[in-house]
Amino acid sequence: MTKKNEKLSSGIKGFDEILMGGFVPQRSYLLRGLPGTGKTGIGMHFLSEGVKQGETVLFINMGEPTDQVMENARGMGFNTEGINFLDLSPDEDFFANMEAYDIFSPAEVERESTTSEIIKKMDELKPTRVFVDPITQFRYLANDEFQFRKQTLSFLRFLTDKGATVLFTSEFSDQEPDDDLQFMCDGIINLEFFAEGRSIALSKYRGSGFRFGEHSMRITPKGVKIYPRLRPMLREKEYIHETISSGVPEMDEILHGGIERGTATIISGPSGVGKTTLGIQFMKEAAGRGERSVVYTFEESEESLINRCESINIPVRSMINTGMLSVVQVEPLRYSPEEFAQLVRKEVDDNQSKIVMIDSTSGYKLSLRGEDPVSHLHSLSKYMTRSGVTVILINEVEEVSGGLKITEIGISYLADNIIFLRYFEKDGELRKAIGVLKKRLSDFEKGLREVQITKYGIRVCEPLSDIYGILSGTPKIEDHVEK
Amino acid sequence: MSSESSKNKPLIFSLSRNKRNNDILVKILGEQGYEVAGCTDPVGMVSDAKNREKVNLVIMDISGFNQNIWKSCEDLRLLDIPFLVLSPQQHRVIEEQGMKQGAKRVLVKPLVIKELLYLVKSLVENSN
Repeated sequence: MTKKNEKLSSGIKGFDEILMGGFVPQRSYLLRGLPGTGKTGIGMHFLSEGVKQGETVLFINMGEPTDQVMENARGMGFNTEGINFLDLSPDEDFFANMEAYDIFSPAEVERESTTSEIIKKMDELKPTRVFVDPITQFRYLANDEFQFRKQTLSFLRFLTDKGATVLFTSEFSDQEPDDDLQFMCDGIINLEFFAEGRSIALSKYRGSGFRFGEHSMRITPKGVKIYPRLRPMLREKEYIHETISSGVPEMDEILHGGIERGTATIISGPSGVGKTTLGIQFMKEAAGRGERSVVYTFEESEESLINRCESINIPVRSMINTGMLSVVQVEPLRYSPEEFAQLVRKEVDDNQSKIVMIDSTSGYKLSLRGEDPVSHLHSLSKYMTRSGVTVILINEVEEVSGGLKITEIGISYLADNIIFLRYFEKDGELRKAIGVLKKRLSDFEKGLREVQITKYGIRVCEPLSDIYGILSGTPKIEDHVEK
Repeated sequence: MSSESSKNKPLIFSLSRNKRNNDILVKILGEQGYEVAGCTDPVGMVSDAKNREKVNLVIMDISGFNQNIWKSCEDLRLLDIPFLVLSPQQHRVIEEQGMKQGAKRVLVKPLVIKELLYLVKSLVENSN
C-alpha cells in the first residue's frame, strides 16, 4: 500500500518521470484530448498499477458500456481483473424505450440517479484510485454552466475527501470547450495526436514540479509508452577524465594523445572521405580496452557498415559478438526524437556504453520530423557527456573540396573537438587530408596530414608541410628558397 | 389507469399524452408519499375521478390534446377537484383559458422538480 505523502505511480515509467515520481495522492487530474489520443489507455494504466499495488480501484464509465471498455482494454494488453466498474453509460433500453419526456429537464431527472449510484459505489468500495471517463457527460446533467461547475467541483471533492486519487477525462471541442474543468482540477495532462506522432504534456500540477515540454507517446499492443524529453543531468556522473587513443599513433599525434572521455567530437567531411571509418577506429581501440561502444547509423545498413569495416581490418563482427560493439540501424522516421533519446539513454545507463556515435547528423535531423535538431542534439549530447560517454557526431558536408564548412545545422558549438576530412588533388589523384580545427581540453597539431584507408586499416601520413592550399581542393607545392 | 387508493395517501392523477411524462411523475410524486395514477385519455380520467372517493389533485399536461381538453377542465371544476395545467409553451391564450376553466396554476414545461413538489404539497394540503 502507498505510504502517506508518497506519490502514486501512473503505471507508465516515462510518465512517472514527467510527474517527478507520480501523482500526488488524493488530488484530481484532468486528462484532456480529442478522441483517440489515448486518454482511456492512460486511465487503464493508472488503475492497473493500483491493482498491482493491492489497492481498490474504480472505473466510472459514462460513455462506453463496461463490456466494451473491458474488451478494448484487453486488446491493449491490460488485465481488467481487480478493476471495479460503475457503468453509467446509456444502455440499449434507453434507445428502445426512448420516448422523449419534457415535463422536467433531463438534467434534473438523470442527475439524481447518477449521483446516488456513485455515492453508493464509493461507500461500498472505498477506492484509492478512481478513473472517470468522460466527466463531460456531467454537463448534460446540469441546467447551466454554473450548476455544472458547482456539481463537478463538489463531485471531485467528494471523491478526494473519500481518499481517492482521481483521473478524469474530458472531450472538448470548439463548440464545447473545457476551460471550466481546467480550473477545477489539481493537474492537467494534455494529449495530442499529430501526423508525426503523439505527444503528452503537463500544463498544471499543483503540489509538485514536473518535466516541462511535449513528450513523445506511443500506443502499442502492450499499452501506452511515454518517452520523456531528455534532460541533461545538472551534475556530472563520476568518471575518470582521461584521453582515449584512436589506436593509430599518427592520429594520436595530431590530437596530442587522442580525444578526451566525456567529450563530444564532430568528424566532418564530404561523402566517402572516411568519417565513419575514423569513428569506428576509436571504437576498435575501445574494444581492446574492454569498453563497449554503439553506432547509430541512419543512412547505411548494418550489413554494409560491417562488411566495409571488415574489409579494412576493423573486426566489427567479432566486436559485436563479444558485446563490445552494437550497430543499430535506425530508420529515420521510425522513432520520435524522445524515443531515440530513450534508446540511447538505455544503451548508456543499462549497457554501460562508453562511446556513442551518431552517423550522421543529417539522418538524425530527418528523424526529428521538422523539429529543431540543435536543441535535441544538445540535450542528447550533454546527457551523454555528463555521464562520461564519449560522443562522436558524424557530419557530412556537401562540398567535396574547397572551403571549411564544418556543419550545416549549426552544432559546432556543441563539439569539444572538431576533426575534419577533405579531398584534395595531387599528382592527378584524389587524396584525403585530415586535420583538427578545435580541441577544447588540449592542444593539437595545427597542420594537415594525408590519410589513407587501406586494407590494413587507417594510415595517417607525415604532415603535409610542403603543400599549401589543400582546403581549396587544388593545393600547390611550396617553393623552398635556399638561404 | 386505476390504482387502488390507500386511505392514508393523497391521490393525484397525472394526465399526459406522453406516457414517459406520466411515468416520471408517478415515480417522483410516489417517492414523496403520494398515490399517483397516470392516464392518457382525459375523458376516461374524468370518469375515473368521479368514481373515486377523493382525488386530491389532477396534473393536466395539455400538450397534444385538442380544444376538448378545456371541457375536461370544466368537468374537474364542477367536481371540485383542484388541477394544474402544464403547457408546452408560455402563451397568454392558454394561460387565460386555463385560469378561466378553474386551474389553480398554469405552468410552462419543463418544470423544476422542487418547485412542483412544493406546489403539489400546498395544493394537496389545501384540498384536505
